[in-house]
This record gives sequence, C-alpha cells and structure tokens, in this order.
Amino acid sequence: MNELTHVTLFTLGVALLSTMLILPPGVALGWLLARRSWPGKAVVETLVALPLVIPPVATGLILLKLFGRRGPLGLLVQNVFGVEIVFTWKAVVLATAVMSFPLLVRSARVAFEEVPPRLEAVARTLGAGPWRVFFTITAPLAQRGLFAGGVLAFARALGEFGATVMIAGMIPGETITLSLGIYHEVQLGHDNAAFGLLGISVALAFGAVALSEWLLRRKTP
Amino acid sequence: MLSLRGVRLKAGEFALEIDAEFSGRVTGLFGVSGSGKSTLVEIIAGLRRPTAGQVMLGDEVLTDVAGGVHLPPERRGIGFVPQDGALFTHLSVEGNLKFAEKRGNAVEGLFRRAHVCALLGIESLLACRPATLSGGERQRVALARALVSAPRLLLLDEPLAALDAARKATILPYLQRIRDEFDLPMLYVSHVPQEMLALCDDIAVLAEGRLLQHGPVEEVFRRPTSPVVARIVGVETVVPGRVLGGEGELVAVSVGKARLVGLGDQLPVGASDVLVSIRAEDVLLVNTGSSAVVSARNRLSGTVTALVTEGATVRVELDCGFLLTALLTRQAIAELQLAPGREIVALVKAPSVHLIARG
Repeated sequence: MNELTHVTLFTLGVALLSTMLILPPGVALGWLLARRSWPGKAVVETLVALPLVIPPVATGLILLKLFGRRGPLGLLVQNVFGVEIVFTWKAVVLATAVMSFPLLVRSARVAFEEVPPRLEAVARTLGAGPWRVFFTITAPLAQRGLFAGGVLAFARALGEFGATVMIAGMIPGETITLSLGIYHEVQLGHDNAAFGLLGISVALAFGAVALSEWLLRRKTP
Repeated sequence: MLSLRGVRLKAGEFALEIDAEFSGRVTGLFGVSGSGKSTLVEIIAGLRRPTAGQVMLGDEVLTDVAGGVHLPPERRGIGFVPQDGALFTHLSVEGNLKFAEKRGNAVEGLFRRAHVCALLGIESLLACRPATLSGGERQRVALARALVSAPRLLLLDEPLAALDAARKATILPYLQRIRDEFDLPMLYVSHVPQEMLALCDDIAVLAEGRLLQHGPVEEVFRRPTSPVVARIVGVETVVPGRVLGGEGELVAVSVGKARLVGLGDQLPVGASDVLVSIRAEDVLLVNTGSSAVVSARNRLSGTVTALVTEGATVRVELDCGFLLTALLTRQAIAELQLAPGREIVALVKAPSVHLIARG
C-alpha cells in the first residue's frame, strides 16, 4: 500500500472510530441538556464547550498532561488496560473525539429541543414508557439534527490538527493524518506531496458534505 | 369516579388547590386561561406531580404525595387529547393509531381500530401524513388515537379551540357520539359555554387555581354561587326542550309547560332533543296587563320565585312553566315593585332563545 492510501485510510478510520465512540455519550448528553435540569448542569455545559473556544493546541496540552505517562488518567489506563495512549494511534482518536464532541452535543441538544415536549407527553399517556418514547418519538423526530451533528463531528475529526499534534506527535506510519501530513511535507520541503494530501482532503470534505446533503434530502417527507 | 383530595401545586405566583369528585359521564372543566385547567389535567394524566394531595380513579391510587405514590402516565390508562391534537408528524395516521394500540388489548370490543375509525369517519385518511390533514381531521385522528388505547378516562383539553366556528360545529357531533357510544368518563376542558352545554352533564368552574362551583350544567348556569362564577360563565337559563316544528327559520320548542320560539339556523336537520339557553340579561320584564304590542316573539306569564342581589344587579328567578332567570338593575326592581309571589310577564326575542342540539 502506498503512503498516500495509508494516510487517507488511516484518517478516515480515525474519524469514523472517534465519531462512533462519541455518538452514544454525545446524544445522551445532548438529551440531558435539552430535557432535564440537574445540579452541575452549567458546569458540564461549560466544560463540554471548552474545546470550541480554547486553542486546539491548548486542549492538546491539557490532554497530554492528563493522559501522559505520569498523568492521572494515563496511569489509570496503563494500570487497568495495560495500554499506553500518547504518541500512538489511540492518541489521535482521543484528540479528534475530544475536539468534535462539543459539536455533536450542541447539534443533538438543539435537535432535541425542537421536538415538542407535548408529543412526548401524549406518547406517555398512550402507554409508552420513557425508553419507548425516546426511540419511537423523540429520536425519529430529532434524526435530522442528530445526523447533521454526526456529520459535523466526522468532518471536524477529519481535519483535526492542533490537539492531535500535541498528544500524538508526527510519527510517520503511526500517527500521521492528512492534515498532519500536509504540515509535515511542507516542513520537509515536499510541496508536491503536500498538494497530493491537500487534494485528498478537499475531495473527502466534498464527499462528506455531498453525502449528508443527499441523505438529508432523501429523508425529507 | 375520579377523586382529587387536597391536590396542591405551587409554581411561582400560581397556586392550585383542588378538592373534588368527578362522577358525571362528561364533566366540563370551565375557566378562563390561567385558571389552572390545563395544570389540573396534567396532574390527572400523571404528567405533572402535585406538591401535595391524592388523585384516585375508582379505587386505584394514581398519585399520593404523602404515601410516595406516583403512577407514571403510561400505566394510568388515561387518554389525553390536547388542543393541537399532538399527532406524531413522522408517522402516518395509521402509524399514530398503531402506536396507541400496543398498550391495550383493544383488538376486540368497542375500542378496536375498525370501530373507532368508522365512528370518527377517518377510514380514508389512514395512509395520510398528519401534515396533509385539515385541522378538523387532525382532531378526529387525535380522538381516535386516544380511544384505541382503550382508556379508562378521557381528558380533552380544549380540543376545539384551534378550530374555526364552522369546523367546531362539525367536530362536536363526533364528541357526542363518543360520549354516547363508549362507557367512558370524560373531562372536557373549555371556556366556551355552548360546548359545555352540548356535551357535559356536570361542570366545574375553576378560577385562580380553585374550584368555585361544581354541579349539573343547568344548575351552574342558572345559579352561579358567586359573582365571580357569574362573570365567568354568564348567568343563563338552560333547560331541556323538544322541537315541535319549524316555520322557516323559526323553530318552536316545548319547554316544561311553556312553548318558546327560537332561531333554528344552528340546529342540525331532524334534531328533536335540544337544550334551550337564554341569557339572563336578554329577558325583559313587564307588568301584567300591559297590552302594548311588542316585537319579542316570546311572551311568558309567570311568578317571581326569588330575588338575589349581586352588586348593582339583581337576579330574578321566575316560574313561567319552566324556571327562567332574568338579570335586572336594582332601579328596575324598585320601579316594577318586584317581590316573590308577584305575577309578571317575561319577554324574550326569538334570536335570544339559543337552541343547542344534544345529539
């Protein structure tokens, strides 16, 4: 497999995996923020939004300190699962997941807020428990927003750079994604290689947007 | 029977405090907006928890705050139709009905889908999406959906409020059909007296979170127990009558021992049992013996049975073959020298005699 194909598949795989990983907690958190009030809600809201407002490199540094060899979470993962995260492909997944999580949560929250609570209330009186109401009424009515959030998170993961470079470094064949690759090749003076990666990035982004547009239009009744 | 014992709910400025037993077939919950009608309905449906009190349906405790009981809405078997119908927009009409069916064993019996659909005339709409339905069709589907869940009690929260007058008139007969076809107690929330009269046996008047008066429809309209109730419902004579026949747009009805003429343009063809309603302020009183020719089509001789003063006005109760209430100023009472036992003639214009089909 040539290097270009490898980097492309690696980037797609990482983005897909990180989106899959954040989907269940992101949707659940979006629902909790939209439908419930609980102590500490404001704190969680702020924490989740943080990666959107602070520089990605700063987020990367925080992650590095937390998950590093001597970081509290790094030690925990090392002791429980026996794996190391930083400067491996797992760090790339972690960085992209953290960076795209806020986008998913926001989209999910807005999507759930747009479902009239009245419909859920009536569904309850018709004999459906909370879980059935969620899966047969709330989620289908929010599906467009949820889907858009998923695509947004995926696109963000494809292009993530700052946090990734801090926690995963630039290890050819191990942690280099398309965006890291572009920077790497330019640094080495390989402008042509960088242009190749650029072309693939643009094509992927184009494909993702087109796919989401098509799916959204198809779902319109 | 639905009982509410010491049910209380405080939300900011608003405080609800209700003790009541609803045992009628159809009980009307009457009140202006902000009176707590919808809040009460949500408490009964289990969608809101009161801060104190007990809600019971028959022998079953649905909510008991002190005892820590709160049956979730899905286990109450209480149907709920809100103002906008709240149809599930991502499902077809059939999908909406199927959603409700999963609960009950309504395959057989009155609540089965085929029967309910026929009753509400929605068989041809099954494949439609809610967005393509008219307001009236939507409400009929919402009613059908509540019925196929085989409820033990049906809560109707202003189901006609979002419809224009013409549509209202077409839905009302369906509600009457539901009332007559199913052995199903209903709580009907509204602020429109005509709907109450057409549907309800009893009404409960609610204002600022309190139950002011509760009794048979005719009784509450005729004898409001307080000026507040009188202002909310308006004082009206409401009596059952029988259509004798019509000449053009005028319809003659027998009421008690009397005969009245009213306008029949709001009446469906062939209606025989009607409620006759006459607002108290539309009744004129003249002394017996006055021989002036008047335009009013109804001239009724009667006896004053009681006078009740309410601020500047006096409620005059008359027996003229049926019990009729008139609202007069104190000045008028003095001039006519009205007192219980006195004979008098009541005049009512035909357009003031409202005829409401009882279905």
